[in-house]
Amino acid sequence: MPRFAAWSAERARAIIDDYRDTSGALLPALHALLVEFGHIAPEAIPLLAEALTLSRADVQGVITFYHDFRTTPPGRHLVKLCRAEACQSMGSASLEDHARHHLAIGWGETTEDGEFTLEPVFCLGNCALSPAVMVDGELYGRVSPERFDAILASAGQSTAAPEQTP
Amino acid sequence: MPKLTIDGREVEVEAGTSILQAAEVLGIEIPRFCYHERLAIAGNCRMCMVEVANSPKPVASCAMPVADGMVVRTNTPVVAKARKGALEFLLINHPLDCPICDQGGECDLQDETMAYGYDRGRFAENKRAVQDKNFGPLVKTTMNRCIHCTRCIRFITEVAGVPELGATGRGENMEVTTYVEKALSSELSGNIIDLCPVGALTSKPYAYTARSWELKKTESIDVLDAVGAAIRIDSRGNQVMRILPRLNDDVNEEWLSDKSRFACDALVRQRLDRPYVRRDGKLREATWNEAFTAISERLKATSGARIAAIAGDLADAESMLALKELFTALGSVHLDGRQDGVKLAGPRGSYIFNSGIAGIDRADVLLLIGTDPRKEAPVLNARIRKRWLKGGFSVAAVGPKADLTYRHDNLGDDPAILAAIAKGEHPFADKLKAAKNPMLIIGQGALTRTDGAILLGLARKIAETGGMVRDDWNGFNVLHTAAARVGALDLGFLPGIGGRDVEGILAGAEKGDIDLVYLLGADEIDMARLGRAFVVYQGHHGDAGAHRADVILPGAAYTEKNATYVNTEGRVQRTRLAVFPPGDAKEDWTIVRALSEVVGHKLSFDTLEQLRLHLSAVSPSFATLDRLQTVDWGAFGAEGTPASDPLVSPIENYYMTDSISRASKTMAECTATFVGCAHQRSGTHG
Repeated sequence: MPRFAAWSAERARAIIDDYRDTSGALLPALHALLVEFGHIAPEAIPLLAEALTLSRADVQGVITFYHDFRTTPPGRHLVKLCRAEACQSMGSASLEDHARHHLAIGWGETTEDGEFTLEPVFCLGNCALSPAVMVDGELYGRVSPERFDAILASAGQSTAAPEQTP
Repeated sequence: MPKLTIDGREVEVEAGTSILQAAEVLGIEIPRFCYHERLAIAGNCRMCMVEVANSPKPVASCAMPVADGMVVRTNTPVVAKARKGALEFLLINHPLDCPICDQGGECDLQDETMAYGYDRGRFAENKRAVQDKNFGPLVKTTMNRCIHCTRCIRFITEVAGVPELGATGRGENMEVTTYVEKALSSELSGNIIDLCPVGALTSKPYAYTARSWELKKTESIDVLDAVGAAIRIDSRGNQVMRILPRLNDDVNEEWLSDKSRFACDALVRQRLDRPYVRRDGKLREATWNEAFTAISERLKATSGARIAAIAGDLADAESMLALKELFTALGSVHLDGRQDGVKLAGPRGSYIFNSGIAGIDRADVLLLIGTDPRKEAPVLNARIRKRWLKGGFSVAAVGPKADLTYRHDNLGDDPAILAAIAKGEHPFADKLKAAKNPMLIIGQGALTRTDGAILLGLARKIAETGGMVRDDWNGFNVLHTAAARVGALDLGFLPGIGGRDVEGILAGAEKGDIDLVYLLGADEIDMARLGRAFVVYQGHHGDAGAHRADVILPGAAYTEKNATYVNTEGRVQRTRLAVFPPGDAKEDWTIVRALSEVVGHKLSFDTLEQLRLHLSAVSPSFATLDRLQTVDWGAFGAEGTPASDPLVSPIENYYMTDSISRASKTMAECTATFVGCAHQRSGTHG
């Protein structure tokens, strides 16, 4: 079961329309699209530009400025691994090697089964508990390779279980 | 008004002024890369940092408004250290390719590095590599050199009004790019070359041809449209290498349109560099004497009533006056300086841009009639956009649907709408009445029609009933497309009593009533209609006129002569000789003067000074240079009902409008890129 809805121009237009009259609407609108679709499809750019009377170049600039606004759909689970200084000093380099080896993917790639996407981040604000990892928005500290496998295994199970709608 | 102290000197400036601007008032120069006085403030290069008392850190002076009692210091060790640091960061990724960079010698980054740079780098890692972008045939990109000042983005978005440039990514990954890899579709794109403080954006046609310190700089005036922008001609030896804008706040601010900037490559192509005489149906090289003799023989065999002269779009006032005097002496009244058949004559107020280009800044309602200013005068169009951006300005157009870079209301292209506005029956008439400084711009698309005089009359009526003509304001504006036109009208290069206009001359030549036609750079008439007439062509490029001619007299282009032109506002300006005319070609007035002696009607002036005195005597407007003059208003235009044909713009292809731009390779590339291949290549079209 995918966590995100498939791209639909109609749905996107409806989401963007909610922000039409807010000032500084681009970022909130992008966040709303990200929650819905898991990524910002290139097709959304003209919709945003038109609704918010910005140039396409402006919208493109904002999307590319923030790394979280990915332009391709992610896997069902988004794994963010911290590569900043504090985590590096606590051995995140070996954790990185383990993660890429374990999932058999590189940075920014998605596993073949569409389950996990691995992304580097630079600081999750959890330096006291380095190395840090974030899976689907849930923050984990002091992550050893073994703990990493366990976290991913439980995340994988949650997809297998029937989806619960809030 | 806030009073502050900068480097121990007190200055009082208007509230809202930035520290950088206040320092400029005192003549203290603060280094900057991203700040530009005609663009929005970005504050991202961090080069302009200064120390402000009680502020814990240095502040960016371009983005910090002044406050009362502020104490600013621009020359302390803290400031120097901050600037050194900012510069070191900028240089981290800047390539060391100054020896092969076209910006070398006129590069802000080079200059500041001389002032604030270290003699070695502390950055041992690899510099970043950025893919070059395709900005079209005019702007060359070397994006490795970009320092992300965003001046180009701001210019294209704010001034040019085509939001196509943007930045993607951030930090080291930031790149300036067009939204979708395509050429910049602005007629003002060349200006980002001047704005770029480094060598990231340079001129493509000028690439690797010259170094700035080898060039001789001549201040002159552009004649490729009727705006009369101030230009600087950079030449090396006897070749014009490039053309740059000069500052003139009343006309072009500091912008220049692409045609005026890039058509200069044509000044060495397709040139007429010696006289030609047609013998046995073929043009053959001749000496000046042979050419003059051929003309003189013809003239002697022809009565004054059967000869005519037409002046083209690039003709200067001096040569037109000389030719007018010569033809008057020969007994001809068939003179016309309006080769496009525009229906203008009458009082000076009826054919110039009365409010002045700077007057656009004061207007609050604008009506465009039969004009597409973006194509006809891009710099003037940018001025309208500047006014529109300030707000409280509404624009309506009766004429072609055009992409004008500002919001406007197209009322339709039927001339009947004008009649309705003039009668007060159209809702727009109420808008005009409510306006404080209403203005209209009528273009050549309306005035060159056969019913041009009626449209002119309607425009006058709209102006008079709409409150556009007052003692302190005249919003009746004619937008010309030819640099020569206002000069021709001022000095009366017009049919005399019983004389034929362009249409009459062509019809006469077709029927055989006109035996000799003298074309002073006139290329935009239908040459086929000249029939069996003997054609003398005086000009600088081998265009349509030279093709048809029986005698060719090689003249000088605008970069090769000291000549007077009057722009669409009626501003009298002078070009200056930057390079000499090629080969045997001569300054135009001297050709007419020499010919007059051969045909036995020696003209009364021997020097340019005498000719110019004479010019002021013929039309006093020529006595005042560079300034606008008060003009007389009177009755003009005709009554009647206009035809119902839709109004169109006279310019189809902005990049090729005259014999110079048609011979330009760069303009041909622009045509292919932006206009499509609709343009037919022919023998005369380079």
